[in-house]
Amino acid sequence: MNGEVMARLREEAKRLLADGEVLMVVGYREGTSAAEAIPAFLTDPEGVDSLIFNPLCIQNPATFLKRASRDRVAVIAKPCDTRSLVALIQEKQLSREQLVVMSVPCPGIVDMVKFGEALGDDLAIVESVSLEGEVLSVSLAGKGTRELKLTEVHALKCAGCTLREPVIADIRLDEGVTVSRPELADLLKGRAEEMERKAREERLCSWREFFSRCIRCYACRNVCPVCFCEKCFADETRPQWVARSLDHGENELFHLVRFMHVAGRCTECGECERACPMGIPLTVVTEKMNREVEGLFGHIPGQSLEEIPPLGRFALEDLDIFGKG
Amino acid sequence: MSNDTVEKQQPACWEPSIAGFLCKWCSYAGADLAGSSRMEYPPNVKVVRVPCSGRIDPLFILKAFQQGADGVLVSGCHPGDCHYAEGNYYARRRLTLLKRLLEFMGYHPKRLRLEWVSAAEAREFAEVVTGMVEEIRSLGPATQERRAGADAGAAAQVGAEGGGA
Repeated sequence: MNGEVMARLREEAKRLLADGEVLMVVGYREGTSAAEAIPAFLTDPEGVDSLIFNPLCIQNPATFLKRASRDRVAVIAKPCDTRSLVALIQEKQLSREQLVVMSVPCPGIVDMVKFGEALGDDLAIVESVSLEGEVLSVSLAGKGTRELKLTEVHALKCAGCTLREPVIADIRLDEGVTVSRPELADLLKGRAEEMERKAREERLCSWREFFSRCIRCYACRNVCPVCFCEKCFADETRPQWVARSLDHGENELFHLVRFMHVAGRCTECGECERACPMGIPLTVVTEKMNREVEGLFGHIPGQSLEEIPPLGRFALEDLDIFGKG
Repeated sequence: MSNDTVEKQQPACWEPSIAGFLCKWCSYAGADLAGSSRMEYPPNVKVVRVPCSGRIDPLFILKAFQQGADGVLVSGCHPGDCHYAEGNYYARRRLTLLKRLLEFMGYHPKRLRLEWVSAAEAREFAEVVTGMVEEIRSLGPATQERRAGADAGAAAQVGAEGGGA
């Protein structure tokens, strides 16, 4: 990220904390290794120098605000993150007034698996990572600098991102940044369509294999910004909806119900798939669901503060498929 | 694939097991009228009465499949006639989306049947059930859609009850 923009980011964060305008700044800091970034929760204005923003800042910070108190908080947000913030505001989990959204210029984030593969053993000796234009400069201890083209290690969701503007923002630190390749948007959509093209039984087998991998860690649910139920159906014991067994059928039950519960509210941030330790392609389903929601109800989640999610409302002229046998 | 790759031999007396979620005010009453009128139709639908089709969480339908249902029938008041004014409108949106998801997952589309049946439509109810039972009978048990252990329990239960009407 541009040094000037980085300095401004830290300056604004410091001001917000020092003036008592916010209780906390939620952002990103360097991880235990410089090869990764982790979320930062700053309350001390003196700590702002730890704030960073680069393509390693992969987490969606909205998920940390899903059971927030009413205190004012500043959030450093990528454009896609702002959609999740809007989704939370729509459902009154957050108020617009308590947020100070600091919008950052996002050329896309890195797919950590691709990043790791590109660096190989060098991953262990990364000293710092910075972005210059379209190139990731990775400095390695005792080995100089490796340069990686950002587009080669882009997260799939970023490759074809067309969302250049935040949906909501209070402080804008973003200049026009374009490293996306819109023609790759089809690659992302292609996954769900490829699944649809398969014969029914083949689809059934594919999903059976995918859900056989699930270990029910619930990382997908926990990381999801719109999964904020006090008591998730999966944790209920009276009645026990989902058995505590790793059976592909029970796993599928958990996932299909979760997909229905987030339907119309999911902003396709992709965190579920990123968090999954078993590589289950969850965003293939979220893409399909969002396409159906848009087709059936004309709704795109996380766009407008005043909207009510589609499954919380109805229209007399909704499509009726009942009674067709 | 997981451990139940060997196709289970269907017991000769396999009968479709269908879970039916019927709204209290219209569909359940319609089913009840079919009974009072001594209409004959297959007994394979296990009825769960709900106050309104809008009460139906996709969870119930998906759980029914996991617990051994070979088919699920959902029936509510006709749009415009909901006892609670709008419950069935929410159901319509929600269950239409569920149907799309299930098809994407590879479930046979005929296994989830969505109907509007009023309290007066006893004959229609009997026809829906008759049609659906035959449809599911020809599709066979929904072994692929559910967990490994469920079939032994379901088949044994239905077998013990003997043949249907």
